[in-house]
Amino acid sequence: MLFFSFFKTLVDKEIRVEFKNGVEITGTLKSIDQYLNLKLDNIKTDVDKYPHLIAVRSLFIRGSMIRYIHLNPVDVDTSLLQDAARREAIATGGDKFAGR
Amino acid sequence: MSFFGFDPTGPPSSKRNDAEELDFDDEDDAFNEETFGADVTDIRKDFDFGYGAKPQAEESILKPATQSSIKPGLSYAKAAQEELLQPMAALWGDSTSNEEERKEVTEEKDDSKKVLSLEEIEAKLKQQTPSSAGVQGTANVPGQPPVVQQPQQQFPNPYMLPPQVQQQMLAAAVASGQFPNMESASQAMAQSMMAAAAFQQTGMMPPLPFMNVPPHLQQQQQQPGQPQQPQQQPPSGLPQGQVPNQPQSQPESQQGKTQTAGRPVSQPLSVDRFPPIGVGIEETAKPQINQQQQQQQQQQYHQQQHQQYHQQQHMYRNNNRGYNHQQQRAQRRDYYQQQLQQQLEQMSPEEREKFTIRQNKVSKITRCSGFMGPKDKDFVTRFQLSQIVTEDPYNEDFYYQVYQIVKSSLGGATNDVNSIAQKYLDQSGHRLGGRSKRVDIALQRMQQQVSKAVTVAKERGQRSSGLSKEGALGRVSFGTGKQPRQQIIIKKEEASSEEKDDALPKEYKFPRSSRSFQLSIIEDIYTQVLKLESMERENQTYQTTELWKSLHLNDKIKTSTDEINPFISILSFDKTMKVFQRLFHFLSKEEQEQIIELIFTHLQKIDIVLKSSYKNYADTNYSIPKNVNDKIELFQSTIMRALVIYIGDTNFQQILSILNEIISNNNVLFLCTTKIGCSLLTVIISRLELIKQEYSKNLSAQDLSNWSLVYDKLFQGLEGRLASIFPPFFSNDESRKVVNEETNKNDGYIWQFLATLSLGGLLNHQRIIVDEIRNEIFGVMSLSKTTKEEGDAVKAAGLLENLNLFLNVMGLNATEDDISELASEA
Repeated sequence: MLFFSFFKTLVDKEIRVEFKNGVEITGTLKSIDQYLNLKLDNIKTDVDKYPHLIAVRSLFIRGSMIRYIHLNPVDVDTSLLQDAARREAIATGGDKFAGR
Repeated sequence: MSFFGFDPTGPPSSKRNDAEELDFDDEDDAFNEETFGADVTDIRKDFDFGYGAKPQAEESILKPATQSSIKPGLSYAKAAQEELLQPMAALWGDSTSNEEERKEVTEEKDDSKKVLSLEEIEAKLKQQTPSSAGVQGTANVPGQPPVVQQPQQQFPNPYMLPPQVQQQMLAAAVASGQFPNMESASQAMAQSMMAAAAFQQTGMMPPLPFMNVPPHLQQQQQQPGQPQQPQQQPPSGLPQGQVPNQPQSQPESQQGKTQTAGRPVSQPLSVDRFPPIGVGIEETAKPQINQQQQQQQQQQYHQQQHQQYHQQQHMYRNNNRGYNHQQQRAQRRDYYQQQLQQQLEQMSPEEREKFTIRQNKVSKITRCSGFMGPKDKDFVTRFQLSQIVTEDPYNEDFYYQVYQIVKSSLGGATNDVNSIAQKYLDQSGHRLGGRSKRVDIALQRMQQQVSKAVTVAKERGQRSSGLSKEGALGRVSFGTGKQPRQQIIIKKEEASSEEKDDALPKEYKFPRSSRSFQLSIIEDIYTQVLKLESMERENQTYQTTELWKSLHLNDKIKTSTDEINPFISILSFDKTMKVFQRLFHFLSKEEQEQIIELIFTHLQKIDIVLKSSYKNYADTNYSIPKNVNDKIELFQSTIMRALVIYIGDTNFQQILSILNEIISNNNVLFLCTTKIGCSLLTVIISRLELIKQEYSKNLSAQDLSNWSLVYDKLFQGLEGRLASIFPPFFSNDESRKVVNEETNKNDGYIWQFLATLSLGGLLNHQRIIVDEIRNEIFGVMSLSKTTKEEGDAVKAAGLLENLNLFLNVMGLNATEDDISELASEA
């Protein structure tokens, strides 16, 4: 759940999504679920390359279509992310934490 | 039928949505459920009832054929036929909505069909046959029975369709080609009978102006060839006077209006279905006669059916509850439509055009709305939530939870369930509060959902996530919300025999000097720290023994050249430096002492201290690599910071012993070639001097003599090589000077060190110092002078300032040209 948890904090932030088919779309992340399906708003893309997206304002993206998501570094708390990753690793190892 | 006081305008659900508002809300759905859910059952009941009502059955056969637009009652056969008629409807101007209606109608029919089981039909048929003879006359009256029916009481039940009649009808229908597309006409008839019943019950008839234009007239207009026509004259039950009731009047008036308006706009059901053409004429011409006829016929009929009537009425009443309910709603709908109609009339043609377009759009949008009732939605929501919600957010949603807290450190932790509910509400398409826009209600509901979801999630958590079959090669694993992708299930190594045998912890399996060993230690430390932090946040009491063990402070690792402590060996990892302060604060005072002592003792073995000496980089013009510089900075801001804070809180004797440790275990001269070493010594000496000067009363003579002993030892280590503490890139001695990218950095720490060194020393110490670094001093002065002449006064002043840090200690002051005694001392 780490990625889901992580991406939840990026809601309302701008991200750039790179699809497995090469399309790149920048937009505001509106929603995400546990499959990392995304909902983007106010999308921007290279309309010369992808004219079919010219009229699209918001998108739902199936998580499995995504190759990369580019983030703004200021939106990421790396040390917290490290802790979270460690915690998850520890927790999945069966060693649950008592509380926070 | 309008006759029953229903607005025929089609199926309840979406129609109403169209008309009332475009709200996809729960509230609407509730409404929908009311109609859909409840109606289904109603339909069933009504259907039974309706089925018995033969007149309707006939009607359904006859009438739908004529009134192409009457959907609800249509059999499939009719529907098919209607398709043929459709273009006409389009001509009348509202084909879209018409189509829509039709779809809905089909649905409706499906409903009613489903509802009646074969057995039921059979049973009904059996019941009904006895009375068939009496009905014969009425059987062929199209549209009449409904006219007669006053839903509640006056219904004179003509419920039977005698076999002969059926056959008649059948024959007629086939002859007329009425069922060209259907499997068989008889089937169609059966259907139509059922449909008619449903139709009657659900009030799906278009608002025909029955008073004025008897349905059969319309039939005549539309389908002159229809075989049933001749049969239309027979008795039709009750006199009109009995019929009128409130709901009925509305459709009528509507009808009238639309007709006068000449356009069937936006009253799609009632109006379109009705070809306005010619109706008006007929309307005025025929109604009177017709009514009379009907009355007569109906009276006869009534008598014939009298007995049956009583029987049936019983049944009827039983089925009546839903009916009344529907009636009310139908009235509401009527009212609405009436208003609409009025609006329409007031509009100019353009406006009306616009309005129609808008209505069409609206109906397109709402076409597929309302399929899910609130319960369905709740289910889906709950399902989604149960995937997301966890009873253990700090384990599974740690990043998000803490991030939120950190971000809104003011807000503090909100109730978790609330925040999830709120979040979900925000994100999902649920508009807050529905029609009434009651945010609190929506939130409340969502909270309930969340708590339910938590329960579900808990229950599910107990289920195992894999299925293994005997003899199967693999295991089937189920994706879950938390692990959506199928994972390889790796059998955990049997933690049994092997590991018990060698009681060594796993990190000892690594070669002990290896990087993996170091990393495993660090991760161990992190684990312990995270656990302790978690306990601390929960205000639990905690034990640091595990953490202490994980530090391996008392272990030794033998390397090829040396023996090294594992803790020291990991100190140069970035992540150790980062965790240092976090672990440091968990330790007890004694443990802190131990760890500090260990660090100072092994100071020059710490990798980063080793690397920070400029002597390592003689080959490369003394330029220190960037990654080393970064590490030095990190070390200073983490470990050294902790050390300095510790020293600030420690008493004279302890600091002295620390300094002694450093001097005895390290090469002081080497330490002084590093920024870290220099700075640490500066801190320690100045702290000692500070205590000595400010609190000398608390110090014994023994302490003071110890201090001077240690100082002498320190000074001996440096004496004669003092100039070497200047890295070449900071040196202003012409013989050593090297210029690289470090040169312009601040060399203040060196002058600070020299200042504290002379501060702790006696006059002869100071003299030696000045003597040894004379070249540096004058170098700085001349550099300052040239810099000033070049116009950079600020930099020149900075250079002098650093120099004077040192000189002032000895009561001297330097300018660009001269060194003099400090004014105050002079």
